[in-house]
Amino acid sequence: METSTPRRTALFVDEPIAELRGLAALTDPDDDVAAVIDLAVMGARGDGKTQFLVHAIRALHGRAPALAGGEQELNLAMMRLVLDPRAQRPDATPPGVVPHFTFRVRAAALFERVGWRSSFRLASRVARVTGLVVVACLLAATGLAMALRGPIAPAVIVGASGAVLGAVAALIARRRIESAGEIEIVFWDVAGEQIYSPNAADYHALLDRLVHARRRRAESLGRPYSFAPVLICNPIALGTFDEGSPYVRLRALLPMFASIDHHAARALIAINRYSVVDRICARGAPRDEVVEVTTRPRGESALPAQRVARELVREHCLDAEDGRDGQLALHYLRYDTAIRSTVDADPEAATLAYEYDDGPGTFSGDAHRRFLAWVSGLPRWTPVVASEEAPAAVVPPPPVPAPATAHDAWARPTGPR
Amino acid sequence: MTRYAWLQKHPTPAARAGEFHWYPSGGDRELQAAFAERLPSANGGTLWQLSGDEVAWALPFVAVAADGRRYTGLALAVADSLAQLAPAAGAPWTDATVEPQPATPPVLPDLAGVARALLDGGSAAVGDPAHPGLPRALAAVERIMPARGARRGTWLAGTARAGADRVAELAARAVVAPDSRAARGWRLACELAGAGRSVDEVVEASTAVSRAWITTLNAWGRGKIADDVDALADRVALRVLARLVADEDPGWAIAEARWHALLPADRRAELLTAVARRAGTLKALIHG
Repeated sequence: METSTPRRTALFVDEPIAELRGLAALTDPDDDVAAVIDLAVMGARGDGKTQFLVHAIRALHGRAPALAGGEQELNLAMMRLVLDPRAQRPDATPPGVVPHFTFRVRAAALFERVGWRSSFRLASRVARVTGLVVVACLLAATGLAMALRGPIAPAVIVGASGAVLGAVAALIARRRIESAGEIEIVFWDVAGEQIYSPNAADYHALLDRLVHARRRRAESLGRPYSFAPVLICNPIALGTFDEGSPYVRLRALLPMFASIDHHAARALIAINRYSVVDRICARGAPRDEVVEVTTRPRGESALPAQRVARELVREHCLDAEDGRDGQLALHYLRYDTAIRSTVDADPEAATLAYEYDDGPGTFSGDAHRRFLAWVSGLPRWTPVVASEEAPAAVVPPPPVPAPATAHDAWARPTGPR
Repeated sequence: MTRYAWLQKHPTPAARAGEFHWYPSGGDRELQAAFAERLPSANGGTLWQLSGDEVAWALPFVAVAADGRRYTGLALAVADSLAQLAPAAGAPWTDATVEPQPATPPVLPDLAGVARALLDGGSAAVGDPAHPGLPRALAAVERIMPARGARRGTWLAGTARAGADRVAELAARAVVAPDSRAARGWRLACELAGAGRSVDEVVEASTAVSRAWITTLNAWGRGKIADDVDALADRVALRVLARLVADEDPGWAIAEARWHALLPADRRAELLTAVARRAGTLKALIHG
């Protein structure tokens, strides 16, 4: 009889970074998942990390695996929000805590929804049908060439053979991917304001320990593993050249966090509220102008206006393209978190009013498919030879004592320093 | 002296831009992280943590930050003992925040539940978990607890009583009537605990009834059985405990060993010495 308790192993017996909580609650799956992916979702306060998580889980059609304790509670809180957009948003993540949310998606479900190019890539890497596909393509091309230059009957036979072989390759790929099982994706909620603070090194160390422990276990089980940071970019919060913005500071640190995965440094920048970008960067508008954007959730009062430099929006949102930043492979995702939104611009006054309605939507437009393609491309699907023993939970070294803080670290309520 | 720290988004001299931060900065980050991690499970209660030389007390509060978003913050107070602790009000720090003053302890609705929580860690209903006099009320219970390691839990609102708990009830009776037999029983249970035995195990062992106890003692005194004297002394101690828990004269259990078993003088002296060695409470009982 199948047991109802989660088949999972704790990766850490205690917090390896005493001042930062999050790893002791983590468990790694014992069942045969096709791959494990850790995504560190970073974003400044109010930039839309939770919205991204909700949209990503909806886009993946993610399901929560059997978990226990704190992991289950976190998943339940997130699922409440995924399924009911009117549910109360979870409280902001306090400093010193890095919560995670564990979800699964069938590899076959990704294969069906990622588009031709990514499907082919997934089929080649997971199902290893590249040879068959190449032969099928060659036969089809030969058939076409023969049809153009000679008798039609042999050309039809050759071309049809190619088509049949292609169909067989697709069926084999489908079956192999189906049998590959599920991919476990773990989203880590990393408060951006803590990344550009004196505690940044702790956050980097925590993610480093995470990746090290995960990879050790993945290699012992012969399972692909990947880590990548996701940085949230809210165009409205990019600020001006004088003020700077948390996003710009986080963007500068992104390669450091992406390189925690020694095997491949990859990162995703998710530009939300994209419908305002076109209007801010309207054709013919002065490039050095600062635009005042008023945001208003439909049915609620408007939030305080934010000033944003048009050139910053152009640089970070409109002109940014997929590519490499040194060793870092960078992908951009452009979407609007709202299911309905209107943007009213007043070019004369350089003001913009953005009204939106959040609902149970997912990434808008092409972003849905692009996100799934990016996720499916993260794991190195080449087979890994399992080592003999799966490692047990990591026993952390004794914590390094914090720099001596004198008794005056505490304030007296009447007059803190 | 109580030291304070606040986890909040409201502006303080440490952060003015609405960041979620601790004020003052530079406190015990490990302790702060431990409380921040427990924030989602507070359910409106007060979070607490006791270790050998420190008690930490955190009152969650719900506030709306300047960006319009709701958040749950913490008002943390740390002192050397519960009796010294004056908790901060459950609100963000502001320039107007003043030092809390000690308050009159409230009546605890579930003394046994509180005793159990202080013994092993956990939750208990305390009426109003934000009552400023609550630490002093709890200090009276903590005072009778045996030396323990770190414990933590949540003080919950309400008056709901925990289920029947023989050990916790004994502790509660000891708090209410410090001169009662129950109080002496609790002290004895704490003295007998340790060395791999918990208070619960000691009290549980004391309920075991031995019908042929006098006969066993007599046989040992006459050299017919070779029981270890310390094992027999432990059984005498547990019989004393059982009588104290039942609010009966504990002297009867000593009288059994001293008179009823008809032990030879040397054996009797050996046994009573072994019994007296086990706990101060027993020594006082034997020597009158």
